[in-house]
Amino acid sequence: MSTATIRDSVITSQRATKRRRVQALWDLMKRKPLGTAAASIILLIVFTAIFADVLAPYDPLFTRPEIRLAPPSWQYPFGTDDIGRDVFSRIIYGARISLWVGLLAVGIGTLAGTIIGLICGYWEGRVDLVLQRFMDALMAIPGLILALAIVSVLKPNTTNAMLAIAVVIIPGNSRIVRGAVLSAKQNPYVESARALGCGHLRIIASHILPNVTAPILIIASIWLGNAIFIEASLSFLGLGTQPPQPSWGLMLSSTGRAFMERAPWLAIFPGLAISLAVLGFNLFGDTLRDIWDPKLRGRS
Amino acid sequence: MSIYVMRRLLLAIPVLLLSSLVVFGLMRVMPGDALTALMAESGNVSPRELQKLRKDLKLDLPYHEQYLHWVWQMVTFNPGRSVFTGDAISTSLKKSIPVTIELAAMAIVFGVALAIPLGVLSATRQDKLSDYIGRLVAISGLSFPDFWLGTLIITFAAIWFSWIPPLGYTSLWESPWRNLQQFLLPAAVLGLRLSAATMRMTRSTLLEVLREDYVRTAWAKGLGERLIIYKHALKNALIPVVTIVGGQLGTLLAGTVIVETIFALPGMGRLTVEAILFRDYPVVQTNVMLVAATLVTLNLLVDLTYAWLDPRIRYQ
Amino acid sequence: MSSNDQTQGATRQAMKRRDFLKRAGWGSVGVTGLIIGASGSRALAHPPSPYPAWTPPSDKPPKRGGILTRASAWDPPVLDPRLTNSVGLFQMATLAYSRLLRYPYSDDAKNNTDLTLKGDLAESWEGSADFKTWTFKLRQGVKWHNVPPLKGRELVADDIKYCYEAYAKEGVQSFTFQEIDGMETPDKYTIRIHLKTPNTMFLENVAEPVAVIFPREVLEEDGDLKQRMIGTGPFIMKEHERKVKVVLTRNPDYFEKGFPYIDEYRILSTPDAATRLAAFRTGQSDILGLQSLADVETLRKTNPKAVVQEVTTVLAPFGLTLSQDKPPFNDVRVRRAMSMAIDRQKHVDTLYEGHAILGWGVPYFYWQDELPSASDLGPYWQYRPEEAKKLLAEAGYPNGFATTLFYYEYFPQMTSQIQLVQQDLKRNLNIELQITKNDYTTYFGRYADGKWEGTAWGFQTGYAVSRDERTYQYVHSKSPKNYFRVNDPVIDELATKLRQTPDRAEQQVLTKKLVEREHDQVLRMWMPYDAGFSIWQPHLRNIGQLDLRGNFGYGAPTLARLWLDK
Repeated sequence: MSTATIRDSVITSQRATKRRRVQALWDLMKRKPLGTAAASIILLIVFTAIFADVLAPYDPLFTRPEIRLAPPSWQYPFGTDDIGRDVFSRIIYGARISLWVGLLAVGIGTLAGTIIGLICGYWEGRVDLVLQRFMDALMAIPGLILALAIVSVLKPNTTNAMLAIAVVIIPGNSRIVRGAVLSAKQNPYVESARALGCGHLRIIASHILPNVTAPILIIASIWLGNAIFIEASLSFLGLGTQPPQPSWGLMLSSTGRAFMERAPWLAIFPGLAISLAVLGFNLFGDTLRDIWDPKLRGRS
Repeated sequence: MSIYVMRRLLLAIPVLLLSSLVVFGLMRVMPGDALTALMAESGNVSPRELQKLRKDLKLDLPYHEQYLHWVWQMVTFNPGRSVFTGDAISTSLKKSIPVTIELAAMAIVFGVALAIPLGVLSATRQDKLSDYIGRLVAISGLSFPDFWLGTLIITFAAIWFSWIPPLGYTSLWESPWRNLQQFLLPAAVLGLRLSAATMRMTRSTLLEVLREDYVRTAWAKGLGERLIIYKHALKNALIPVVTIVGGQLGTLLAGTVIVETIFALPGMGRLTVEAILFRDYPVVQTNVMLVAATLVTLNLLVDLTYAWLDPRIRYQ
Repeated sequence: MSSNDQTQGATRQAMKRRDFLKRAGWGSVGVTGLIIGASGSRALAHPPSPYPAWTPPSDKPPKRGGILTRASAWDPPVLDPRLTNSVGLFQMATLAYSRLLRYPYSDDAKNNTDLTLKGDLAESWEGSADFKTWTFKLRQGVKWHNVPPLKGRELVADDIKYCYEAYAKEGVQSFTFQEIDGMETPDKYTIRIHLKTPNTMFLENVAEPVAVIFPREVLEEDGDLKQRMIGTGPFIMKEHERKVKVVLTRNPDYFEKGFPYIDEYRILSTPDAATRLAAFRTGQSDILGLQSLADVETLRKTNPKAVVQEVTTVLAPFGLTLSQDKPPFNDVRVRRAMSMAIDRQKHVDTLYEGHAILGWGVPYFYWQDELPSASDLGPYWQYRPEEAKKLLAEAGYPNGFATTLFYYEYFPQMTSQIQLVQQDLKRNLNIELQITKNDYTTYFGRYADGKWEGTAWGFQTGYAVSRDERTYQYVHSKSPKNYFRVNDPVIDELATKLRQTPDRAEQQVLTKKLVEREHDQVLRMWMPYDAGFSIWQPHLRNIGQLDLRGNFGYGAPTLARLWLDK
């Protein structure tokens, strides 16, 4: 056979695999319509956040008080706020802030929580005992209070609100990771790897982490929704994002509430945005859990 | 079993101590101290009064002495006085704790009453339409910030029904009917959020349990489907649900500030948050420690219940 | 939106009125008369609202009895009147206590601008020719509340002396009372007060709503006034549940016979604005304050019978406070430039829907008869962005600079207003203003501390009625209430001279000079403000809205004259 034919057949089989993979993904999407919808929502938000500069018709900070409190129209699809800023543009840029809040808070929280959980679960013993008690101590303090206290210590702004939320996430996360690590350690592969003299890092990387990734991602996606929430609550109390930044939480808790009767669109759109984002992230996490948790695989 | 209990009890103590350190530390690191807060309303309190206050509050002592003094106060159940108002903290706690307990209890009742049937529905009809609807309803509960929901309810109750809960908190003993009217709406708002998390947990654990061997056996034995579900599966699925409620308990005990503000209830949430904003150290420290101790105790009880129910855990 | 013609007209009218008053011999009205704008007509610099500023007292015979309820935004931080000026305390303290003199109530005032001093605990009074000695004759038979430890004993002159000495010793009112050199009580009902320096406006200081007379027994027994509130006022504090409610009941032994009409006044702590509105709508609250005209219209859709009164805005309590003891704000050119770069009229037209004043600090009727128009406020209050830019460049900042602003959101429009200012400064002068919204404590602590840098959205204290408070006590460089850090020798001189001037017309002239200097040097950059509206359930009577004293805030004593027509 000529090399051309062999290459052709390799390419054909590669293409076939790819087609099979695409087909599998498509099947999955059909089976889990809610999850697919959720993923689309998330993609929409990410897309909006990245291309905000292009998508937003106006500068979100540009005030034109003469046209304040205008109801939704062709020119201003979501209306204008109390000092004449375009709500649509603000919602679009708000995606950036909400995503930023979510990703940073959850990113740091998850990373730190995972590291602590890994250490505790893998090495156990005294380190585990001490660290877990510290985590318990943090968990004993109600989340909002802890976040509030932390933001009060630092300056009130978006970044510090995120750090505070990250700290709130860490203990719960570490506990879950710890649990996953403990059960992963039961795996016979791990024992044999130790017996063969494999380094700790190698074991963690190859055997522990894959089992831990699933619960982490599930929790992370749910926390992404919660983070946006807590930021909104902190804004309500005046300790989150500062004006004039267009965070959805700030828009809802300040102007949205103040003009609830006169200009309901000021509350409706940020509220919808928040709800959609939280919905998307939560449903996505739910679906991930449905797919990855083998015990839950239904009759499909 | 008793060894397990002992161990868990002993472990709880360092947790409490660590919590107290965290709270104490955070309060001290906050910019603007309690006395600035006192000045806030006045504009100029005399330096002599400030000195006297500093001494009274022991703010002139080094940090570790302040800490030890406070720990002693906690241990002897003598929390001292608020910096800001001068009232005894025990008095304000006596007033706000019943409010919080009632609010939390009613929220849990609401949440669970909504969540369990929805969860069962979703689990037994997995991936069908009712499952989707159930999950959507549940997650909507999670998606509305409580301040928005609360404001919506209070504004439109007044406009559409010309009725809002009677203002001016009355305790359950004074006037049960008035009290229930006051707590109904805020408990519903809180319960909605709780039900969302609970419903999903119910659904997922029920899904797990429904595939367990003993459930299949019961099925094979031919008992009515409902009987199987409710008797065997639900009982076991309830355990993780208790965990969820336990997890939410922290929020219910001190994170309810927004709902309390909107519905004008003098609970622990408002007390603690306002104390943080006013840098009222003794109040914040005491409140948070109280909540932390409650949570630790409740978690301990939950763990002990697990151990009692599932013997495997005792021997870990 | 005041056209040139309009403003010309207004100033011409004002001039005429003042000249007339002078010629008609109203010059030496003396220190006990302060009837301003009695004719009631004013050329307004903004379109009037459809609601009256005054509701005359009802001519029906008053009915006794009933309960007045109000959902209140304010909780008292402490009960001790020496330690706080907060309206949260005085919304009720002014009803439980009395003071030596008072301002008119809703049923004995001619209209909302009537500031005639009347006797509260004092029956008559007179001042020495050098304005340093003031003698008051007290009413006889005034009883403290019939509550232990006072048990209804009679009020005597020594009680007043004790109070004023206590105020002078420590607390927020010490600056006012430290002017007192000494006091004598030649008999039970007479008190003579000697001042260190002459003060023609001392009587006004004594009539301030916060200068309440408290009992020595309580202070001596408790060590402070934080726990009990016992006074000589029309109401007795029956219940005080922190963060829940305050219940005040009628004082049966009140020295003004026949008052109060209502049996009980309940104040319900309701921190959320939407809830307070809902409470008024459903009849659970009898009185409501609203900020904007549009909000009032929204309310009237569901409650068409509610009685609305306009709260006349006589001054702006808020302004852009600069740390003017430090660069760059110590340069008058920078201050002037910033003031000219902000379009105040736009705030009035848009944020406040036309119903606001452009912003000045001293109640206008203390320096002119008519509501000030834009030109009355001086060149630096006009919106002239090109000149501003030139001036800033002259001062050495052609490319602007960056600075900070911290504030507390007293009401939602404030945040909107600050953001408009931020835009104006950036657009016109390239000044970057980084905003921080603080919680109340952080804000107030930092602001009152006086050591902050950059800028703040600052205020002058809310309660003061007297000219003395609003001038000397706020702008004198040595005053502790000088939050704006005004340090100007001309101002100091004018303010001190004001205190020594008995003639009312001359007082007006001096005050006007003070305000003009303030505006010329932009020592306090006042911003547009709208005092809003007060709304009352239709069955309430004697609800005339009083200027400078909100009827249910610092001006609450007027509630003793309110009755329910049910």
